[in-house]
Amino acid sequence: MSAIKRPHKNPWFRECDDLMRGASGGFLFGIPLLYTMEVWQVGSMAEPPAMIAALAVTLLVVFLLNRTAGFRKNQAGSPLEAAMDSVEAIAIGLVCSTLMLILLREITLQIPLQEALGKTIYESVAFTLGVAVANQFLRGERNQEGSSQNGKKKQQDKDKLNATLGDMGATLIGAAIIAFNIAPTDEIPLLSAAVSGPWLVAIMAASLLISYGIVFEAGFANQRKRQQQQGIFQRPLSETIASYLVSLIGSTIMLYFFQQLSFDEPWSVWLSYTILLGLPATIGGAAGRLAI
Amino acid sequence: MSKAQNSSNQEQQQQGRALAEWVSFGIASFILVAIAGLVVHQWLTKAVTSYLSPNRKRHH
Repeated sequence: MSAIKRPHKNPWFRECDDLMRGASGGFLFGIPLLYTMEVWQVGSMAEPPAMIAALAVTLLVVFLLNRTAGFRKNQAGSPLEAAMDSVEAIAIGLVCSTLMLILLREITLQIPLQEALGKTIYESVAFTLGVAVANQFLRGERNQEGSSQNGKKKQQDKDKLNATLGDMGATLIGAAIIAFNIAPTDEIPLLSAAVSGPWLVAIMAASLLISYGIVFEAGFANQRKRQQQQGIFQRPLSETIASYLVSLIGSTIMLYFFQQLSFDEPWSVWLSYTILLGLPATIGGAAGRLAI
Repeated sequence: MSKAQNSSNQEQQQQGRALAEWVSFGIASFILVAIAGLVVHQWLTKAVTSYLSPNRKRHH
């Protein structure tokens, strides 16, 4: 397969890879909490001392995690390096949670600064923990040439249709694991009321970008095997789009199953709910394709 | 490629990696300090406002 990604020789690209791995770990860990209105409420009512305490405790926990896991390919050797990585992990968590809250219209220019800060800091805790454990449970395997060659031969023998069905199944399983917990809650109708046309397009773009990043850029476990898969859609772009469509179909079924959608609703509600649930479903689907 | 060339490449990569890490650490520190600064600013503003408002009432 031509799309196999090799480790970058350029240190700046390697650094980008590390940051991308961290951000992807953050999304995998933080997205369920992002769709939890209680966290928005706790964040919006939080007092500044509580926010500072949350940041300090997160920094301490992430420092300890960075001593054993971290998000970099090369684990932090000294306490100073672990502390530096901890600051970066928190910054990644803050940036990711802020972007997602803006995308979901939970942070707008109309809400007070303290509320926005509270929401960002409280949502960033889960994202930051995801960044800090990214390398531990989704460790990269880019140097395992021998095993990947064997895997390639085995994969070539597989039927393309079976591989494609396997991909779609893995996407559906992963999407269900994440989105099944979110579909019956009130968060989707609540978010839908605030999100209009252009924001829905932005959410679709973010879903595709994050999914692509997790599967093809972050350097997680099984990424090389993933890129050698012989499915019909097995090109990074086509696989990302096809998997997104599968995740959207899965989201619609889940929403209908939990009676969040009915045939009396206008098509715009179906579209809005599906795209909103499609974001966590796509992230789950990406993890599913790497895991299975 | 000779061993000497390999080791010099590795050294360059190590130096470059350190620089790239320092740059991203600098940006990350700025983000963290900015957020913490905003929170402290809110904290102080609130504290000063609540301190001044009863005094004003007394004066009136």
